[in-house]
Amino acid sequence: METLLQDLRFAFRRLIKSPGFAVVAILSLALGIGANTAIFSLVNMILFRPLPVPEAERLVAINASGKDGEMSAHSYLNYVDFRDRNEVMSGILAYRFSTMSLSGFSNSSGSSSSSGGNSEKVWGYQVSGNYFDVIGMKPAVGRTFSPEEDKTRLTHPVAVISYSLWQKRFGGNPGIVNNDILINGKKFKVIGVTPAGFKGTEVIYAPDVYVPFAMQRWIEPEFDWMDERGNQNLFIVGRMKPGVSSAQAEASLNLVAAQLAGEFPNENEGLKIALTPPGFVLPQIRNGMLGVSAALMGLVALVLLIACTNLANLLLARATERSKEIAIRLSIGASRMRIVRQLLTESVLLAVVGGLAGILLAGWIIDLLIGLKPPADIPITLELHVDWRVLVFSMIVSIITGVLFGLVPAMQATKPDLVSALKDVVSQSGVRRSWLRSSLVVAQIAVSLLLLVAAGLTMRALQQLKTMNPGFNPENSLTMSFDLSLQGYQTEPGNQLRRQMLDRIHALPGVQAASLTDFMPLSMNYNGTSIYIEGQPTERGVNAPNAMTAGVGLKYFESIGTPILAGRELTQLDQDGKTRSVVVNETFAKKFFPGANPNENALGKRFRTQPEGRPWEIAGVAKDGKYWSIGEDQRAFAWFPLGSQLAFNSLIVRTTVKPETVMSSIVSEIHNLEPNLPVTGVKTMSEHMNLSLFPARAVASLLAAFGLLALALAAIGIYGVMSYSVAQRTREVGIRMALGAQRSDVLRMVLRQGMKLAAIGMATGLAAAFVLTRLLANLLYGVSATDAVAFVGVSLLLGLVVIVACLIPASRAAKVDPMIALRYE
Amino acid sequence: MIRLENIEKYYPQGLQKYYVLRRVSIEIKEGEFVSIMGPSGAGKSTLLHIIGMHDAGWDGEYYFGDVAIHKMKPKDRAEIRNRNIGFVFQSYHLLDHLTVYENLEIPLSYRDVKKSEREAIVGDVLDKFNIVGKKDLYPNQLSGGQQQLVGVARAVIANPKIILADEPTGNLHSSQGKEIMELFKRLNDEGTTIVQVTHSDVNAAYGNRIINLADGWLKD
Ligand SMILES: Nc1ncnc2c1ncn2[C@@H]1O[C@H](COP(=O)(O)OP(=O)(O)OP(=O)(O)O)[C@@H](O)[C@H]1O
Ligand SMILES: [Mg+2]
Repeated sequence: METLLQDLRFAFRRLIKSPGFAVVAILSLALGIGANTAIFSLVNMILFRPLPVPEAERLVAINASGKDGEMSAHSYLNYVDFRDRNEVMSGILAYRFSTMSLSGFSNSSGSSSSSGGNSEKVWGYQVSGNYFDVIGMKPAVGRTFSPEEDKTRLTHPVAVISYSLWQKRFGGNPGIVNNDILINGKKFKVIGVTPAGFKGTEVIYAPDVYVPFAMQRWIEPEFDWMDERGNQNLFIVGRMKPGVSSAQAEASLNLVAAQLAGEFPNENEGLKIALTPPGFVLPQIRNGMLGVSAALMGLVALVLLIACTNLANLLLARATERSKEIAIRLSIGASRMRIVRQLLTESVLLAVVGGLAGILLAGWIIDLLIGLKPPADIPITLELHVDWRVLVFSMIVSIITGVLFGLVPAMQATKPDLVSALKDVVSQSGVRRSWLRSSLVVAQIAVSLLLLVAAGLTMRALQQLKTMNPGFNPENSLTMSFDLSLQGYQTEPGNQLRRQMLDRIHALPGVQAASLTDFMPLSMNYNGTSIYIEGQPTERGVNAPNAMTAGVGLKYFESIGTPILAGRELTQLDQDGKTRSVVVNETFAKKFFPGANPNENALGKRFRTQPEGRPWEIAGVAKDGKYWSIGEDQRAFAWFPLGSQLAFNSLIVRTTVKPETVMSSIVSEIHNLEPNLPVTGVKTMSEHMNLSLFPARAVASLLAAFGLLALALAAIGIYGVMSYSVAQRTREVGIRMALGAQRSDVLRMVLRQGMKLAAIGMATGLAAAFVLTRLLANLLYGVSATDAVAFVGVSLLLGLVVIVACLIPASRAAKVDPMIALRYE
Repeated sequence: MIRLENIEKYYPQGLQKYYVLRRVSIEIKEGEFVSIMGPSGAGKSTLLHIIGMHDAGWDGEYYFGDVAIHKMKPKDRAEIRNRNIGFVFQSYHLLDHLTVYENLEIPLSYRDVKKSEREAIVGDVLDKFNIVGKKDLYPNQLSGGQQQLVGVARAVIANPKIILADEPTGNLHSSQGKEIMELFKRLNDEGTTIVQVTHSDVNAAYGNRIINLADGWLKD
């Protein structure tokens, strides 16, 4: 212990004495460990950190899992059965994502709140009455739902609001409790406020309003799904009874699932239950995020490796400088162990200081990460924190780094052949050491090339995605959303208003066509239905084939720019419900009507969305497109008439002029007709495309950041090695100049040395990249993992940086004055 | 062959000048064997570096044959030096990581001699100095005297007209030193001009003239 303290004191004093060395080493490590800490905080959020609720380890997401293992949501009736029939859960809650139009606050005590009139779109949940009880949340003020409040339909208009909404909109006034707010034009009594930071059952979604399912028809006036077992749109989370394992719980819930499949085969045949950690809607999303963060973690570990190489190289250089001192110590009887330990103390000290600096840096990198939010109007929160798990991770990484990368230099340094070290002659071990240093630089360049190639590939992929045809024409087109149903409109007046709107918009100069839809492609929305083709045997329940769907108005295909390839668009008769026609896409036609000419084949064919429902007839086939994500495989899709549905309407306008120029006149036409209607998401279609490009853009910018970091660290590395080597070779350079070398000869000699290392490193890196970038394939959307442009471009960049990094020490070498260099006689 | 007129050399010392050489004028004829002597710090090495055109920071006139060195650009000086001058150092200054053969090759490679010719020339010199057997050894595998032998061989390899040697035997035994001095004598007999710095009267006796320096001044 005492010797450890002494070692520490020595190490500290030694570092203070050569601040340049310490700064470069600590900075390198801080960058490496900082980046790792930040990415680990992401992994921590997804994988390790439980939901911030009491006894979170007993909460599980209960997923419906179909034949292909794809997880999905539940119907309300199934939820109720699972809740009431199971014996393993102390409670099961359900929730559904909902948007609401919020206005007004009639507070008798008078407050800073805004008065009625201006509505605002807010995101919230419809929840089961036991939602907060199962979670175990204590409200900041007021109370949570009582059992009566979710028992009978439309009898208890009550709501719980979030802390942040309370602060933002109601000034944190505790008088909000027992006062009314207007949701979708209807009075709801606020009964409680959630505590600050509470987000319910999701990790990255922060709802502002919670309303019981019993009030569903006020929240979604046009939709009636609660009594249909086939309508699966709830997510459910259960709290396991103490002592029940998740395997037991899963087995027990599957018994209930089997009962339900037997009782209701049309909806539930094949139904299985899979339990997963809660927090990410469906395990697919969690797994997707996990996959991306695992890839990021791997890449950022490489950045650390490069940083550590710098550390090892600096330590080796110091070991060389100190070889005489160490030889003297050894010769007067110090044990090798003792000296190795002393040297290790120094490297671990460096690593720990670097790690601490890295953790500070991580806070800042995390802010940048949080800034990488998707441009969606969903309230997404990335709560990345440096919590104790992250701290432990960083400290362990630092210490391992210090020991691992300090050990080789320490062993090397204590193995000089005493005689030559004492004689101050360049010994064999000195030669070995410089060889080791060179190999480290080679490795460093190889790894940074690998990272740069990865970055280059993702940037190419982003480029590629931007030019990818989404199946519609984003040029000269704009969109905005509104919801007349939330404004309290009934069907007929609402329809009339919409017709007027569309007429006025069509009359605007610069507008070619305008239409409405309840589904904007590429907006992280998913609507789907089962498909039962007439005359074809199909499976039922969870096993039935499905397609994504949208409701679209007149002129939709012209407005969004999707060509009809066979048959026709939907007509006014279809919209009025007098005929039941749909348009499907090419993949739909191919999937259900394979053969020589699926598009023609599909026309006139009929299908149902429920085994005993009314049939729809295929009137047209439209070009394939992208619907959920820009990188997805082709999916079957069906466009149904929007009819008189007032909820979730998005307006799509095709213009003959720049869309920005008519945007505001369209919004004012809408407000002329309905001044109180919140119009959201006003943007050009090209801007809308940014949302679908977001994942690719986020990954590309992260990898680009890693790549640049790696480049900078490798540049520091090669600069350090070359500077050191030049310093070591001062005498040699002097001799060579005395023997006739010109400055240009010296310059070339040093550059050649650096470039030789770089060339070996780059060749190794290219070979490694060639093999390893395949692992990135699912981030690359259609760009080959061996894309030549990325490989060549990145190699040129790295080559250039290496030349610049070598040029400084090289020109220093060329300035050596032989007279002075040779004076050391 | 070499004519120095009023060479002055100083190092700035604060605002003052610290003179290392004062009004040094000497002439060295072709074929001479000159020894520069004087106490430590007298400026002997400095003078040698000026003659060897390593040092350009001085005043005065320096004629090499008919060429006025003091009026030339550094690059042209280097060319004259490479064609005419060879160096031998007190601590040999062989390159540690190169073999004897490779050390001998360096001056030729900086004079753009073709590979095949280089082989022939190095072979000749190895022969002449009787070190063929050592050609693949590294300097630290040689004794001091052998190293200096290689040093001299390297100095003559590009066939210079003049050899400058700064205490070439300073690190050697007297017997090894004698060997080197006899080598110089032989080279001198074959026509090479030699200028050496030495502290030893014995070594100076091999030459035919002594230049005495003290505190930067010539003394007779
Ligand atoms: N870079 C320099 N800056 C200042 N003074 C210098 C510098 N280089 C040499 N001197 C001084 O110039 C003087 C002459 O040095 P020089 O090496 O020529 O002496 P020397 O006669 O060769 O001595 P020795 O016999 O010890 O080798 C010395 O006093 C030395 O201190
Ligand atoms: Mg001297």
